[in-house]
Amino acid sequence: MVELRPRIKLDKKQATKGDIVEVKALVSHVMETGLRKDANGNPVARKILNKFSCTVNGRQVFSADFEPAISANPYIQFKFRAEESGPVVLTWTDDDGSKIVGRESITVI
Amino acid sequence: MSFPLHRRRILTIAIGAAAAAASSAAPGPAFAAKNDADELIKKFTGGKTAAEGRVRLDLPEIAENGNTVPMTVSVESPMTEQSYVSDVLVVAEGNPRGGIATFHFSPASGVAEVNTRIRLAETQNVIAIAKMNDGTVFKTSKQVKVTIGGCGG
Repeated sequence: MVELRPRIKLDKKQATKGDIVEVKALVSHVMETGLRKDANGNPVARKILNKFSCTVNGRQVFSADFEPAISANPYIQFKFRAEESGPVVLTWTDDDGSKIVGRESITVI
Repeated sequence: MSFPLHRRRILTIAIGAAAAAASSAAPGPAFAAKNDADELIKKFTGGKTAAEGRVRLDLPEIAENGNTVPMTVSVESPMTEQSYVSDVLVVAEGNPRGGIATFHFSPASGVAEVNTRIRLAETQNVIAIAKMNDGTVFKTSKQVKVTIGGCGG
């Protein structure tokens, strides 16, 4: 199964210091709960993205711990206060330790 | 096929809640969670009582599809170093497991607000608890009617 890159959208690419920037992100992932059974009645193992974090210029602005009750293809929308220009890095961590990373950038004037 | 199961489930919940209410030493909510939601809340608040207010939970009254229910949690706070929301726990009382997510904020978040999509197995209460940097906790809850349960399989 090919995993698509996360889709990230900032409501502004340039902000004045102190502005609130809104981030919307969508990532493809089955978010297998571990409660389903397959066609033969065997339980399908849990496999979810259990952590999410966003850093701006290296500083964490928001993070979350996800449980299997977060829907498949998890969508997240949150905000951060524009302080310094730099990369906006979104990282999702899978149960198996692998990471999905998406990058945007913000210019703060 | 679903009707008799639904009725049976309601009876099971009613009997379970009555039994839980009768047997619990401390006074609890009218409808006890049927999963670990209460324990998750207790662990998060450290046993502190959460006051109502300041937290807002936006969920549809009726969710057409329990597999993906849009949810916004927001907390009133200046989000300054002196006063900010540090964490928000969201649990569901009627899912197989209570936990939905924990969100972590800081003054750098600017606004304590998050929108995502969650799975709800059946009609139930969703509870959001916000913890402030000074340790105080606030809560709110919302009932969501679910027409098609989102537990898969």
